[in-house]
Amino acid sequence: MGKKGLSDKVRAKRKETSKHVPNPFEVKVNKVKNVVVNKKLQSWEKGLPGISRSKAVKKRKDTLLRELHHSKKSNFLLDKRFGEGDSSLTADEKMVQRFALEKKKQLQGKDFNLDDNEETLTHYGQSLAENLQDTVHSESDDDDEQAVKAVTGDLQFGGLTTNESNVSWKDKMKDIIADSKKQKYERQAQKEKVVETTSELDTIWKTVVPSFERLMQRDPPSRKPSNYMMLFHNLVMEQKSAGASDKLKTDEEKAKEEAEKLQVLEAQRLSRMKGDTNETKLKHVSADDLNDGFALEPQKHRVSFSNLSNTNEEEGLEDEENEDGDQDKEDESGAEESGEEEDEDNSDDEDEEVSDNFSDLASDENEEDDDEEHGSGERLKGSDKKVSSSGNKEATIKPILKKHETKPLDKKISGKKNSELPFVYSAPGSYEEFAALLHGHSSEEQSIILSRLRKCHHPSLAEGNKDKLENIFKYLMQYFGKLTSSESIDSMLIKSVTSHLWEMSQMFPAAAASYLQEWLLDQQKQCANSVQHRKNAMSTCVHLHTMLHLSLIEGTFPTSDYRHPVTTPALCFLSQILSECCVKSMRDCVIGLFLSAQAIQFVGLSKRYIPELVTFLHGLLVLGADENEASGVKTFPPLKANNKRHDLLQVQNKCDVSGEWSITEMRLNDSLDLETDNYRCGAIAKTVDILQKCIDLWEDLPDVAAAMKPLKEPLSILPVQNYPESLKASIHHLKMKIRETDAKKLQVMQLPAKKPEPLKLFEPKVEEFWSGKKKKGGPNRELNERQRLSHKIKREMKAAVREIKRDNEVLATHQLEVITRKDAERKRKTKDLMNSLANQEGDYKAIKRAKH
Amino acid sequence: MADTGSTSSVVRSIKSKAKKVVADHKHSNLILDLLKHTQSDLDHVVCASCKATGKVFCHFLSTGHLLDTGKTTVAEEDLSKEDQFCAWLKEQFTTAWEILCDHLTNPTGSIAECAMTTLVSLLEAEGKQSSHGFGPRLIEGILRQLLTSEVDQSELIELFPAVLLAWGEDSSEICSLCLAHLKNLLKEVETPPGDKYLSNVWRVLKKIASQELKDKSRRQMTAVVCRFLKLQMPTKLYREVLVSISSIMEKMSSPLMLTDFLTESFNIGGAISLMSLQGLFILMTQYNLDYPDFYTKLYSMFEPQVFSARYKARFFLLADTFLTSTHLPSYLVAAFAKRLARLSLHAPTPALYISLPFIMNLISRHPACEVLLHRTEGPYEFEEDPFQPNEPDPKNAKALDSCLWELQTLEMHIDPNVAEKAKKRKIVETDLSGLLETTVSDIMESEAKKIKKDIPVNFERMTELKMPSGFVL
Repeated sequence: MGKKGLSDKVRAKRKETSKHVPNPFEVKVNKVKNVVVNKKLQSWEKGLPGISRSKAVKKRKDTLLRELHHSKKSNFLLDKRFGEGDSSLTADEKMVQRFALEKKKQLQGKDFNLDDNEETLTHYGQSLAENLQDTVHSESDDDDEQAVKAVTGDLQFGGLTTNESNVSWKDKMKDIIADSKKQKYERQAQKEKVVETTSELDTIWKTVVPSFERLMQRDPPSRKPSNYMMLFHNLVMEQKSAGASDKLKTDEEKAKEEAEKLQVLEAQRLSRMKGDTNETKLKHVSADDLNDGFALEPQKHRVSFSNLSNTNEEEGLEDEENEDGDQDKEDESGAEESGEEEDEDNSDDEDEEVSDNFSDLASDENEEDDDEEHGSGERLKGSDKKVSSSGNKEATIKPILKKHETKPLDKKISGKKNSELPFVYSAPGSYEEFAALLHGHSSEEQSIILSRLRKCHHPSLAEGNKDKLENIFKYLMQYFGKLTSSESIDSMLIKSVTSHLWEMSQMFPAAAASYLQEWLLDQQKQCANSVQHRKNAMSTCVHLHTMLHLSLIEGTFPTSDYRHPVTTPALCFLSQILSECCVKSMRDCVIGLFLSAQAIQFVGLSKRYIPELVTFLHGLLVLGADENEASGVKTFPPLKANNKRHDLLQVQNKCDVSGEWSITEMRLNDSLDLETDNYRCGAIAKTVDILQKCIDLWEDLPDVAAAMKPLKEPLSILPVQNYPESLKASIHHLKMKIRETDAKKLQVMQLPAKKPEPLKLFEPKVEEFWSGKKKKGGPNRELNERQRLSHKIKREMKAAVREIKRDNEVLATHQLEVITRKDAERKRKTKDLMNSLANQEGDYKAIKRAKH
Repeated sequence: MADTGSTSSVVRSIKSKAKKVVADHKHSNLILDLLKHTQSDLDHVVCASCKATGKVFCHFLSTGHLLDTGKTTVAEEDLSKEDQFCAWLKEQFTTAWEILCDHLTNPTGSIAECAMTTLVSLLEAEGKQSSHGFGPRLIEGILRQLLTSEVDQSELIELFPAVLLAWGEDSSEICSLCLAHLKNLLKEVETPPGDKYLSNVWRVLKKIASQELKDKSRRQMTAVVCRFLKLQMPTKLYREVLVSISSIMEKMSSPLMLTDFLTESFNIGGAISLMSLQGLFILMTQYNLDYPDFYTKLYSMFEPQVFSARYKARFFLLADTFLTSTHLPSYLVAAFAKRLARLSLHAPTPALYISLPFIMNLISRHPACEVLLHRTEGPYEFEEDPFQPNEPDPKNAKALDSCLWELQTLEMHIDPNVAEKAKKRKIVETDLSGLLETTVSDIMESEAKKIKKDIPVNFERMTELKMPSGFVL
C-alpha cells in the first residue's frame, strides 16, 4: 500500500498535465551556458517564480496573518457542522450525512405522527419520480444493458459530483485482475481438455497397434511402402524405443573408468599430502602479473570424496554381484525361502540380480505376512516373484539402492539363523536402544542387523532418514568404543563393525571426524593428567581401545594428508605418548612397539619425520643393551640415565624370535608371562625392524645421518651373542644402513633467490557499466552517509532561514500597511476637521462681515 | 545436640562477660574466667574466648591501664590500689598473649587463625599508644611460633603481612624488629633444622621482602638471607628458593652476597642450574657480576632433557634474553643455534614450537649467522657436517662452517605448523613468551578446528582393522 506503483505514477502525471497548462508569460527559464541534449532541466533552471511567490504570500496571509490576528484574541468561532474538519469525507458524503442528520432531527419527537406524508425524492429540485419515468420509457429498446445502466446512471443519478474518473482505482484494477484470472482459467481448462483427448487417442492407438503388427508381418515386403506406411512404421518404432537407457558398459570400459577414478583420487591425495603451499607455488604466474594479489578466478581446492567413493563403491561391487548373486539373495531377499527353490531362483537370476536389494526392501514391508506364511513355500515364492518384478521396474529409478551391498556372510550359518531376525528395524533413539537391539546376537547376526538397519533408513527412502542414519552411525561408533574396551575381544564382530563404519563414514565424514576428534581430545587429556601425576607408565594411559581406535582412524581417514582434522591430532597424540610415557614393564614395551609400528604406518605414504619415534626406539635399544656399557650412553627423556629397570630388554640366554604378537592376548591376558627372554628378543627384533623401516622412509631427508646418529651407540652394545641368527643379520643390516646415511653428501643451504618484481603498469580505470554519472564518494559507506546528511542539514538550515526571513517580510509589510492605513485615515480625518473648521471660520467671518 | 547447645550458651556467656569487663572495671575478675576458657577442649569456646580476651585487652590498652610505668621493683604495699590493679592487669595480659601464641601452633586451623587475628588486633591497639612496651615481645612470640619446626605454618604466614602492617602503613619498624628476631632465631639453630622450619622461615622472609624496606632493614635482610642460605635445604625448598630469590634480591643491601650461592647451584647441573639462571642473570645485568664461563655453561645446558624439564619455559625465555645482546661473538650464537637445531631433531613436538622461533631469533639478531641458512662461498657440497656436537666449548664447535640442515629435515615433520615454520625460515624476531606454554592438547585442539567442511576420507575400502606388521588382533 505504501509503495507507489508505476501505474499510480502515470495516473498522477496524467492528472497533473491535464489540470492546467502554465501561462508562457509566467514561465521563467534561466539561461544555460552549455546546452546538453536530452538533459533534464534542474529545478532551479526553470520555473514559475511569480506564481510560486504569490502562492507563498497567499499561504502566509492565510496562516501567519491569521495567527497574528488571533494572537490577542481570547475566543474564536468554531465550525461545528458535521464533517467540516474531516478531510476523509468527500463533499457528497458530507452532504448525505448532513441530510440524514437533518432528517433524523426532523423525525425526533414525531414518534406518533400518523400522517404518512412520504418524502418526495428530488433531483435538482425536480421530482425524481417524474424524471425517471420519462427516461426509462424512452430508452427501453436498447440492447446493451450496461450501456443502459451507464446512461441511466449518468442521467438519473449522476447528478452529484461523482463522475467516471472518481471510481476508485483500486476497484478498477480489481476488475481487471479478475478478468485476466478468468481468462487464464479458461485457457487452462482448454489445454487440459486437449491433453485428455490426446491421451485417449493414444490408448486407442496402442490397442490398435498389435493388430497392425500382425498385419505387417503378413504383408509381403516386396510392396513399396507408401508414405502413410512409412510414418506408421516410424511411430511404431518410436514407441518401442521410448524407454531406452544408456548403453551398457563393457567390462573393459568399467575397469578403465574405475582406474581413472582411482587415479584422480590418488592425485588428490598426493596434492593434500604436499600441503597447500606447494600447490600455490606451482601456479602459473603471468608476465603481466602486477603482484597485487589480483587473480581472475580464485582456485578452488575442494575435495569431496563422498560422492566419488560412493560411485566407486557401487561399481566395484558390480563384479562381486555377479559372483555372489546367489548368496546375496539367500542372505537377504530369499532368507525365508527353503532350499528346494534354489534352482528356480537360479533360472530367473537376472531378474533377481537387478532387483536384489530392493526385493528385500519390498518384502520388508510385508514382514508380518511373510512371517505368518513361513511354511508355505508356494505362496511365498509367488509373492517374492511379484515383488521382484516390481523391483525390476523400479530398479532403474532408484539405482542407489544397489550400492549397499554387504559382504556375503557365511552361507551355512546365516541361512539358518537369519530367518529369526526381523527385517524392518525402527531407528534407535538412543545408544541404549541401539545396544539393546544388538544385544544377545552373534557377530554374524549383528552384522546382518546392522546392514538391515542401514537399508531401512537409507536416505533415499524417506525425508528424515539421513539424520536417523547419522545417529545410527554415531551409536555404532560408540558401540565400537564399547567393544574395544570390553574384557574379551570378538575379532569377527569388530571386523564386521569396522567395515560398516567405513562404509558409513563415506556418507558422513563430518560425523565420523567429530566423534573421533572428541575421542582423541578426551584420551589426550586423560593421558596428560596421568603424566602430570607422574604415573606415566605407558600402560596407564594407553589401553587396547586406544590402539584400536587409532587403527580405525588410520583406516578411515587419509593419514598422508599434510593437514587433516583427524589424522594430524591423532599423530600428535601418538607422538606425545611415545615421547612422554615411560617404559616400566614388558607390557609397556609391547604397547610402545605397537604404537611405533602404527606411527610408521601413519607416515608410510607421506614419509614425514617423527622425532619421538627415534627417541623412543633409541630408549628401547638402550634398555636392551648390556647393563654395564649402557650406563654411559646418553639417553633421551623420559628414559633416565639411572633407570631402575635398565635390564628390561636385556637377553640373558640364547633365545628365539617369536613370530607375530597378538595384541589382544598380550594386553588382556594377565596370566601371560611376558618377562621371558623370547619376548625380549622379539621386542628387540621388532625395534630393529621398525628402525629399518624408518631409515627406508627417511632416506631422502638431507640430515638423516644426524637424526640416526644416536642409534649407533646402543646398537653396538647389544648383547648380540644371545640373539638368533636372523636378528643378528638384521642388526648388521641396520648398522650398514646407518653407515650409508653417513656417507651421504650434504648440499649447502641457500635461501631461494628472490624473484625480481615486475614493473607496475598502470591501466586506465575502465568501468564496465557506466551509469552516466561520476560516482560520488569513496568506498566508505559510513563516511558517505555522514557527508550526505551534513549536506542535507546545511540545505535545510538555509531553507529554514529563508522561510523565516520571508515570514518576517510578510509581517513587516502587513504592519506597514496597517500603519499607513491608519496614517492615511488620520490625515483624512484631520483634513476633514480642518475643512470643517475652515468652513466654520469662513461662516463665522461671513456672519461677522454681515453684521458689520 | 545438647553438647552444641551447651557450647553455644558458653560462647554467649563469654561474650557477655567480655562486655561486662569492658563496661565496668569492677568486673575485671571475669578476665580469669575468660583465660580459663581459652584452655577449653571445644574449638568454638576457645575461639570465642580468644576473641573476647583480645577485645578486653584492646580496651585496656586503649585506656592506658597497660602502659609500662617502669616501677616494677616497687614493693606491693607501696602501690596505690589503682597501681595494683594495673600490675595485676599486666600479669594477666602477659599470660593471655602467651596463651594466644601457644594457640598459633594449634593443629586446628580455625583456632590458630583466630589467635593470629587476635594477636594482630592486640598489636594494632598497642601501636596506637605512644610507647611500644609489649610490641617487641609480642612479635618475638609470634615469630617463634610461626617458625616452629613441627607444623607447616604456610596458612598462618599468609596472614603475616597483617602483623607487619599493624603499626600503620609504615611497616619498616616492625620489619626491622622481625628481621632482628629472625637473625637471633637463626643463630639459635644449630642442629640440622627440619624441612618445615626452613620452609616457614623462607615464607616469612618472602612476606617481609614484599614490604618496603629501609636501609637498616635491608642490611639486616642481607645478613638473615646469607645465614639462611648456609643451612642445608631439601631439594624442593631449594627449587622454591631459586625461583623466588629474585624478589628478595631486590630488598637486599648487597645482592652480590648471593653470588656464591647462585654459582654453586649453577654448577650443580640439571634443573637446579636451570633455575639459578635467573638470579645470576639479575646479578650480571644489574650488579655487574663478572661470570667468566657463563656462556660455555649455558651451552652445556642445552641437552635433550631440557625439553622435558618442568621449567623449560623459564629456561628458554632466559636463554633468549641472554643471547639478545648483539655484542656476542657470532661463533657463539651460531653454536647455540646449531646445537638447538640438533636437539630439535629429537625433540617432542611442543618443544619445536619454541626451538624453531628461538633459532630464527638468534639469526635475526646476529646477521653474521645468516650463513647458517644461506651460504654462498666455499664448497657446494660437504662430505659430512663440520659441526662438532660433542665439543663442550662453543668456540671449537665449528658451527659457523655448517648449515642448518636440521631445518630441512624438520620440513617433513608430522606437525604441519612445525613443517611450515621450518620451510619458511623467515628471519624475523618473534616474541617467545606466547609460545612457551604450548602443550600437545593445544596443538591438537587447534588442529581439530582447522578444516570443518569437506573432510577427506580414505577411498580404499577398509574391511578390517589394519594391524601394523608383526602384530595381530
